Amino acid sequence: MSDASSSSLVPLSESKPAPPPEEDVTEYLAFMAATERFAIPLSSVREILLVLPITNVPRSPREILGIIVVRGTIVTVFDSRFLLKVDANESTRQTRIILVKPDGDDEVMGLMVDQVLQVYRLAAEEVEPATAIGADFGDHVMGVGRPNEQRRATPSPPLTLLDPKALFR
Amino acid sequence: MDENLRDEFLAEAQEIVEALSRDLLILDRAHKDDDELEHDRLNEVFRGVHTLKGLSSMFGFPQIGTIAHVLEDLLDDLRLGKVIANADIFDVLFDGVELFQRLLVETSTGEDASDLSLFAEAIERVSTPNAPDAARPTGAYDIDTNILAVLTEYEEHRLNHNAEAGATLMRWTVEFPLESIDTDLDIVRERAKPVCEIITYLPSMESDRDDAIVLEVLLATTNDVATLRGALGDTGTLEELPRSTVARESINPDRPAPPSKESRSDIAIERSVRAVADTVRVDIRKLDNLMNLVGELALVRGAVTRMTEALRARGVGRDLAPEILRINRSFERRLRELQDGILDVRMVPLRHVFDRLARVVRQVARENKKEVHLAVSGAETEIDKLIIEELSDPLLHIIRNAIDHGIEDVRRRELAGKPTTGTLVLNAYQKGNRVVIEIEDDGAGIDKAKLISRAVSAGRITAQEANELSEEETLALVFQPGISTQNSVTEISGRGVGMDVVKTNISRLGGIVEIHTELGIGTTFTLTLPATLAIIRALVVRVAGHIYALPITTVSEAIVLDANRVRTIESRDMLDLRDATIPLCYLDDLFEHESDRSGRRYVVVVVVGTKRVGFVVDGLDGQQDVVIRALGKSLANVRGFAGATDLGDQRVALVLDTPGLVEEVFRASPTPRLEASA
Repeated sequence: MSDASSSSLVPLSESKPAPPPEEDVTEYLAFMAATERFAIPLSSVREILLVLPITNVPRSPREILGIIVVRGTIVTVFDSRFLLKVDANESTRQTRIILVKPDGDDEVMGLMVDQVLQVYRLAAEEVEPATAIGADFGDHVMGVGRPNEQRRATPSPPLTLLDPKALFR
Repeated sequence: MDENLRDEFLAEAQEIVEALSRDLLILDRAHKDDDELEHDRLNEVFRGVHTLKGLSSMFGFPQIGTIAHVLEDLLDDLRLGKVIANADIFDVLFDGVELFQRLLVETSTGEDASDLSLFAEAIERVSTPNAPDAARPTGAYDIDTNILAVLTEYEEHRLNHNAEAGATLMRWTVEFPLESIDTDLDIVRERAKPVCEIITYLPSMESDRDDAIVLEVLLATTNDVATLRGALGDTGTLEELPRSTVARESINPDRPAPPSKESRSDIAIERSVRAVADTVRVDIRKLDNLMNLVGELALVRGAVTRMTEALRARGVGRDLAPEILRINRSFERRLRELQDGILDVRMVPLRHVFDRLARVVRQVARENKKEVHLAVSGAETEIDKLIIEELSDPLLHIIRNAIDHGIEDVRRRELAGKPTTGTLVLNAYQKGNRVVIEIEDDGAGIDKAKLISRAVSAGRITAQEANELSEEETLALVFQPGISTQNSVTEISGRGVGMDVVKTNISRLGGIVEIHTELGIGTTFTLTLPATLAIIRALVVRVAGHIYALPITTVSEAIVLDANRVRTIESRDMLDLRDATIPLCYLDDLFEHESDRSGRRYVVVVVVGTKRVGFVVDGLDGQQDVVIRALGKSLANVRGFAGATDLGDQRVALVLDTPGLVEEVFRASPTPRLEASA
């Protein structure tokens, strides 16, 4: 996932395998915005695109970067800087646009991120709900994912888990 | 149930219901004018409902079947003269049409509801026979019992009716070639209509040819033989049936029962199924898909053209260039034909909406106890299917308003010396690649003084502003939410909601609304709409490195900006364009693009209705056919853009909503601006 420059499109497998029934596990796609690590439910991710020219839309809110055309459909691209309140970053080789469809009937939105990391399968006990943390986050923060170190080969720092529906509201 | 079968049923049923509605409106009109109802139209309505009944039971839609069944009974009584039509009956019949429409929608969305028993009760109420029991004078004629035996109850009724009215009965024996009998009969029916009524026609065994058939046509007429001959042509034998001297007390009791209505309906169903075979119904999304493909093909063609030019510039393949050019041109022509072909398929006549509106007019007029005559013209004007769908709400609002507030009640009209029946004119016509729809009433007109005072009291404008409003600006207040000149709130309109919807919907379609009103004389709403939304020709412009497309239909000219012709009036830059002064709008300012404003700049003059604006841009990139794609919901609140389009090479350009922007320029308060640089 770290290098997908060979193709402009990095489609995810169309039919994702259902999580094993014996475990209450959710899959998340982790990404970087500035220096922070975030993750959104994989079920809402449609596609990951390399950066393509974005057409600026005058008079749009500042969190909207502009529009792109993806196979005939106009997709609005959002800037993670304003959406996630992180510092600005220049576009790099690692910059990607994640196409997110929050819910069945929702429109597909683009989220420009600095780097796409990997997919995490988090069990319920690896997720701290936002309500349990008590801090005053925005609605779009569902909680914090703490991948259990013992179960993984590589060290995995905590992830801020995002609710896609609230994110683009 | 099989989706396709269901869709087919729905489409077919929809067609029947639409025809039903059309015919009922004509009958209702005749009834209002105290004319005799056209018996064959009434029969047509009966047959339509009957077919619908047959189809719905065939495809398993019992509710529609039930409604059709009770309606059919009522219509049967009507056509047999057992029940005489009155306003209540028409109300119920129109209710039936509404109910069909609703059931069809519910069926197509898979829902299932609706209380049918209320309707059945209403039918019951009006179905009591109210016709005097007429004597049956059939016996006054010597009609071959063999003929009488096969007459249906309806045909017998028509026969009696005509005899009663003093018509002469004739028998026309005529031969038709077998292979063209269907069309020949249609022609005969058309020709016969003005001079006589065809009661029935029966095949006779007398023909001695294998490829022809002799028909005995039973006619009722008040005209003489010569007139009939003139209309029907000089074929066959035409003889008057002798009146019998002895009135028969009844028709031969031994005759076999007339063919049941059921067996006739089978023919009707068969016929309508056959009619379906020459038309194909297509999901509009499939057409959109094709349109997208054509749009992409156009992009490919553009790329080929560019490559060809590049090759020519490099001097490569000079000998092949003319050939490539020729091929390219032919490609372009075919592509355009393909595009036109697909566009043509998407076009539907406005009749579909107008029919629905005619029902609304009738209903609203009755609710308001007003007399309204609707005159429709140009219903055959064609417009994009998608526009039609968005059009019915705005038109509905305008029409309801016209009847509710425009057309006065009978007493007021009498006082004003107007005819007691108000007239509503619905007129449509094509103008270039736009479609114009006019809705004109001869009502009281809009009271501008009242409108202004309402706007001031609603806090929309200040008293100061009110004094400075132009006529046009005053009338535009009609579209402000929450402003109505009506004192009372009715169920239908007068709450000041609705007219703002009109404006919003029409502008979203890239159309404009204009109002013309005269107090005491009437009001005209004029809607100007693009004929199609799918593909438009656009002028591509550059503004500070950004690319925009302007629908060419609104562009009147593009000229070089000449600083000497720019004047500043009340700190607004205006351009002297020949004899007129038009406001300038700097797109870089409007869109907050950084621009160094060096070099030559251009003015694109845009005309929307009677307003003209010059948009100042940095460059013109020529014209292109573009496929407009909608912006996502996340950009719904951003004003000024009708959509976006893919220009190829991953370039996406926003398409300007020129009517919206022109509106904005005219509305905007003057803002100070540095003088234009040339």
